[in-house]
Amino acid sequence: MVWQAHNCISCHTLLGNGGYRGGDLSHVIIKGRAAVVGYLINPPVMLPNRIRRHPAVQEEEAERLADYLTFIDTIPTLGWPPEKSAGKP
Amino acid sequence: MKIGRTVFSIFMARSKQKKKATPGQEALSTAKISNRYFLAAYFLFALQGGVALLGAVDLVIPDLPSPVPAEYGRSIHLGLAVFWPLIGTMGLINYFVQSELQRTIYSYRLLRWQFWLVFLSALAIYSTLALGIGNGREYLEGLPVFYLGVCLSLMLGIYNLFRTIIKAGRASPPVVCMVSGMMFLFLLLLPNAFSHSNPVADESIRFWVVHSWEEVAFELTTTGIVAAFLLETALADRKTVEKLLYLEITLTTVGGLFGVGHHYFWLGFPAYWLIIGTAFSCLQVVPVILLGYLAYKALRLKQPLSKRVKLSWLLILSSLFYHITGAAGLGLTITVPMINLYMHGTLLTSGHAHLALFGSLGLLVLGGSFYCLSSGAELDDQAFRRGKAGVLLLNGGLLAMGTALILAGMIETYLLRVAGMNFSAVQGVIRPYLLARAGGGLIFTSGDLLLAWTIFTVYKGKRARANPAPAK
Repeated sequence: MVWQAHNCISCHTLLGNGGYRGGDLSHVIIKGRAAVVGYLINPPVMLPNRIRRHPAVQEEEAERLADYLTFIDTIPTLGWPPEKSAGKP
Repeated sequence: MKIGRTVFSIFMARSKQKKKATPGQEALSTAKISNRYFLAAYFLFALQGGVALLGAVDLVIPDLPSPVPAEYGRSIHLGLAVFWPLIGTMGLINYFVQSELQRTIYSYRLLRWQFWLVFLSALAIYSTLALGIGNGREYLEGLPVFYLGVCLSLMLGIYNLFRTIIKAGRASPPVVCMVSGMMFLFLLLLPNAFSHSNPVADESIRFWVVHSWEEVAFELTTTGIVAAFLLETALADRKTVEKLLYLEITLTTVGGLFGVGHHYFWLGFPAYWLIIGTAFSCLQVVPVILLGYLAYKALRLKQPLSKRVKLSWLLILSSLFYHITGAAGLGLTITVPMINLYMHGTLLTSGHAHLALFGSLGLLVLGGSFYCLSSGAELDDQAFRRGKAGVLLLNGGLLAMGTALILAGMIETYLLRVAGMNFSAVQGVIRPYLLARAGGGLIFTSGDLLLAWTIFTVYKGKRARANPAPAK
């Protein structure tokens, strides 16, 4: 799977578990599928870096990852995460 | 260079005896192979300090070039954090089972196979991760086949221990404790040698290693090792230890196995897991208190100790301190569902993990390995002072890292979850704390290298005395 193959868990959390560097992506898909796919195909520079960009993936991989994140978004998490900004990268 | 040659000769040493070995030769071979576990643990521990420090620096220095892909650096750090204590624990179990049963291990050849299987599997995981090849499961990022190698090694170890117990015709409570822990290490890892396509199933099974290895299997091995150490050094009487140990085994197993529920709160499980997870997490604290009670009784004896035992005891006491504070105290606090709802997925968890994994398990393995590896040797004043400085730096560095991460986590929790600040903005605010964490990492790594150097020199001296160079 794309999530596992690119070791995304090292920097991001899903359902709160994973690396704390890049934020939780459990509900990131609510930003819109096109926005997520676009981000993955043409990744921006990762702050606080000035050169290093977020790793890029192929369009087909980005679509599959968006499917996966859509499924993750449906998992009932009993109100976690409590912040109103959940989903913002 | 000399230290390198000594380590190399130990690792590559093979029994050249083709005929059936005598009991004396068997004991010698077993001791030689056991030492490999401790040397490997110290070597990987020293390596981990360096890798982790680079990772911490990478978080605070923008665009820092790295030979390893940034997203795999953390995976190597986590992999090292799990496997050097495992290798050290395997060696400690062999050593203390022999000392408890007063006989050598059933087969030193199996012991050798067990070592090479786990050591090469661990090396294969680190090498492939450094090349960007992995499985993408946190803490178990290596390719599944390598975890099967670790499972096989554990299986050989369990078989060898059972045969040893059968030959001895008896098993003391510390032996039961250590062997049960080893069996749980195997049983909980085996389902994790495979990936599961459903993310909820995969996460819940993954926690059988992330949680249950630490809080069931290693908790049992730790209790058995501490008990055997206290008995061997006459810091506890057998009657007290045996009385407490069966209670420890029961509470650790029941509390730890169901306590995994505190990781299932927000994973898509039904709400009653909030009750199961919390209730059994409370139960998990009891065996830690009992272990603390054993240590308190040992301290009250005020027994005069040799420098070697004193340094090992210092490391084990440090481990018990983090066991009670970082693992049990902080762990239970952040398990309360209303607290967990807010802090889950923040750096507070990372602070707890540093104190619990390295603090309680790591320091215990370092102390035990130091004790076993220096067996038959005595420390001079210089080595003792150097070792003590190493322990002090390790503790100072760990406390600095843990405190920085806990504070960063608390600020992150408030800004992200209460004030509603954006994730990227929060990262900017907590950056000074991550810098402090990197500083703590530097202190920790200095202690890590100083202690590793001390043990290698003590061990080298012991070997030189055992095998004096022929006169010219």
